Amino acid sequence: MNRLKYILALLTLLALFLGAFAGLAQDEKVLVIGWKENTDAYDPANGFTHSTHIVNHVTYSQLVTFPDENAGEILPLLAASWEISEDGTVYTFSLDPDAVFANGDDINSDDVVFSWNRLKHRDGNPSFLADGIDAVEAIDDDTVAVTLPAPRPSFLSEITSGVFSITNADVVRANGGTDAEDAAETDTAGAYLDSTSAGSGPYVLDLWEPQNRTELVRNENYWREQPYFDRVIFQHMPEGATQKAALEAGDIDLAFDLSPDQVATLEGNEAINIYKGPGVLTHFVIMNTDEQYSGPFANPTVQLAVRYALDYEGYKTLWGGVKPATNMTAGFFGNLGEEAAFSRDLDKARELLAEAGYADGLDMLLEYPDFGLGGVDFNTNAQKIQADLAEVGINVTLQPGELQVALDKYRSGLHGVGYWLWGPDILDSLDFLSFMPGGKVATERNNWQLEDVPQEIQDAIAAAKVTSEPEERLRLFTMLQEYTMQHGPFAPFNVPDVATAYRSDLQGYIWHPHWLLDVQILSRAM
Amino acid sequence: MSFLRYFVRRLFLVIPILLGITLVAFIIANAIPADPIVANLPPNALNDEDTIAAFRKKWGLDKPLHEQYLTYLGNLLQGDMGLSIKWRKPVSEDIAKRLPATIELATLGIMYGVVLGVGLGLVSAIWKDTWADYVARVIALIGVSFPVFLIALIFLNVFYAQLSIAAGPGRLHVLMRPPPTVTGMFTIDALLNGDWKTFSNALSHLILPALTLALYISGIISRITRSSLLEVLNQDYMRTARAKGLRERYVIGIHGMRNSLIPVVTVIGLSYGNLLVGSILIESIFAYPGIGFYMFRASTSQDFPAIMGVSLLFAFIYVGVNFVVDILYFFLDPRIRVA
Repeated sequence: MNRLKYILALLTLLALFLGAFAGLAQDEKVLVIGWKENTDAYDPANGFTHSTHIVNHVTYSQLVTFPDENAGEILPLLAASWEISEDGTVYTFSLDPDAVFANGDDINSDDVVFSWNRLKHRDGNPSFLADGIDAVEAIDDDTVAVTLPAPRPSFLSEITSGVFSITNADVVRANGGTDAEDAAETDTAGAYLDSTSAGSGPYVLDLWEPQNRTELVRNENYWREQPYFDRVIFQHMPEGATQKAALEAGDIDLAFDLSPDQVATLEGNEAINIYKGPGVLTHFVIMNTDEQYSGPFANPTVQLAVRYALDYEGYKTLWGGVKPATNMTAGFFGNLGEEAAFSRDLDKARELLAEAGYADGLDMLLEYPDFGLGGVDFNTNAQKIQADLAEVGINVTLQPGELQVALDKYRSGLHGVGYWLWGPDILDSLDFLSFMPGGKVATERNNWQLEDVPQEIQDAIAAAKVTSEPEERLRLFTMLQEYTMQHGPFAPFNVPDVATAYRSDLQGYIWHPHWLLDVQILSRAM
Repeated sequence: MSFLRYFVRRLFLVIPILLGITLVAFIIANAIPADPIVANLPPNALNDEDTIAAFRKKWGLDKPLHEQYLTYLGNLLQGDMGLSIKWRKPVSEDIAKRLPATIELATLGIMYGVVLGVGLGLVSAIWKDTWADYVARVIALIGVSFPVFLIALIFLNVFYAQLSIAAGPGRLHVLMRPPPTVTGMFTIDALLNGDWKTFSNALSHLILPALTLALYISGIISRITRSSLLEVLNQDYMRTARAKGLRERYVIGIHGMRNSLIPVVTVIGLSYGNLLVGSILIESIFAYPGIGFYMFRASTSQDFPAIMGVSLLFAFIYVGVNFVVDILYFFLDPRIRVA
């Protein structure tokens, strides 16, 4: 035993000193990101997670893109220009003749047709995003026409997504890929595209070890300005505390998943910079409009009382951010903004509950996932909701559930009252229609049907889907938001800030509302 | 009883246990109130009956449960654990990649734990009711009662982030490459490759998580060592040994320790099993890509083949460790040999 003790002690000391101080000379310029990887696939036709988007944004190019700083306008990328037909249903793109894939192949219209048809027919996780496209046709080598079933003002915003990446058709075909209608059964290129990329972005996927490490190397054939870093390493660190420690130790350059309180403890550290900005995730209470699931909370008057009872300023104190008026993502065109949002009014809430016949109070079972995202903890918010509603006589019993189990129930529309968050599927006001009858959240998940709302609102929903004229869009979205504020089954209460910490020698960091992190614009101070 | 007879008897007992475990794991995995369809298909595909039917067919979910179980068992006997629904790779491949990392960590963890736990137990028993006993018991109590994630976070923050005297998360420094794979255990593979730099770096990355695990199990080991040794120290043969004029270190080392080892070995065996299967939190905090974290992801994704594969692996580990402990009893306890 004694000998073993001494050997262990010696090994420990040796390893501590040799390992901790091992000098690691690097010829390459390497960027190391600590993140919580949730990648399902890096194949653009099959991956649909935050980490997929971050990587595919720089390993592939799309036809159009947003500016580096925001999602305020549509800029050319692979498409040098485009035209929209008068009826708004046909988009004709002219490809940039300078664009080439990482292997040096030219990019032509066949690649676009192949990539988008493969996305549509692959039945992958993001394939539903291509459902709204009727046809993609090559007019000539450098021109592609895309036909939509009806005008859709958000179309160009939608195709900035990494999901609509243009892949090298020849390479993907050679590795088992197909864009045929039976691609769901016959395409076998997934494994290849999860191990390397076949795109034209500034980087090439070099390695993916799921739940461990993703590595990108510079694309030497990149057809635009070369990025600063030769290699980018994304290291999976599931805990924010681990990322924080690694950032302080200097082993990573950027910690992607710190909570606001973890970020706060780094303030004043000269070796670390902190970025804070507005987020896009709306936290909200959802009350099923089907009485058999939610009981009294199917009553619009009770729903309104809940909106008056929540302590909006309290959530801002916890997580920063803004209080939303509706479930339209903060910053989107036509959003009513904080000025229009509810302020807490306990008397009004009690009055509404009395009017609905619950003067003596009522019970609520609040279902939510035992989960956290972007550093915001659902349990903390659920406890606050419980405390807020107790003040107006609503006795809340908390029912946290394992994420997947809770998600099943929520997506199936079988929950009573729930607490969830929403991040936009598309960066356009149209995304808000998910929260109007006929939309994904309102109807599929909450049983709020079109016939439950007046004809005027039904017409406004239909018009909002196809109208692109700004003034009319503003009128329609204002009307719809005001309606949900008074009669909707949702109580959005906070859009938390995002906060990221990075080493102070890292330059150019910006949080982007769409791809979140853009490693191609980062560099290191000399 | 001969050793061979004892060995074979124990071995035969293992088979029904393993079969039972496959059945229980299968039933539990299917009884969880979550649907693998919802967990693995995108939201809009949930409205498409054809897509759902294709998914069920592809993963065999359209067959009756007993048929699914028998198919699984048949494949398992041929060494096929199936494909992970989440990562679309053979489960056996994923396990083979991650298990060596966990074995490496748990083995160092148990070594630290045994030295610390038995050491504290000895101090506590020999100097019973003195300040040394109290200090050893407090350390043991901290190990048992402190949440393991808290110890991990304290270690990481103090020794890695603040003092910079220990290596941080992962199996190697983020800029280092793993050694060529032979066993999958980086320390051993680096040694086989004659690469001292990688060896020391891999070992340094094991220290903090292994110490965390060690502190956790040393509490239990020290308590058992203390109580077992105290019981033995009061036996007549101990007094006889002293009366013969044996030095105290031999009295305790040979007569005391040997006879108090049986419960200690049992606890060490179980602790090793626990470290192999129960280090999910440690692996998560130290970003250590082992089997525990793989199991966690498989469970939250309702990835039945992966859940079954890892459950079986855990069962094998427990059964294997218990088997080894049983065999050790044969050598430690003469009563078994004459029974």
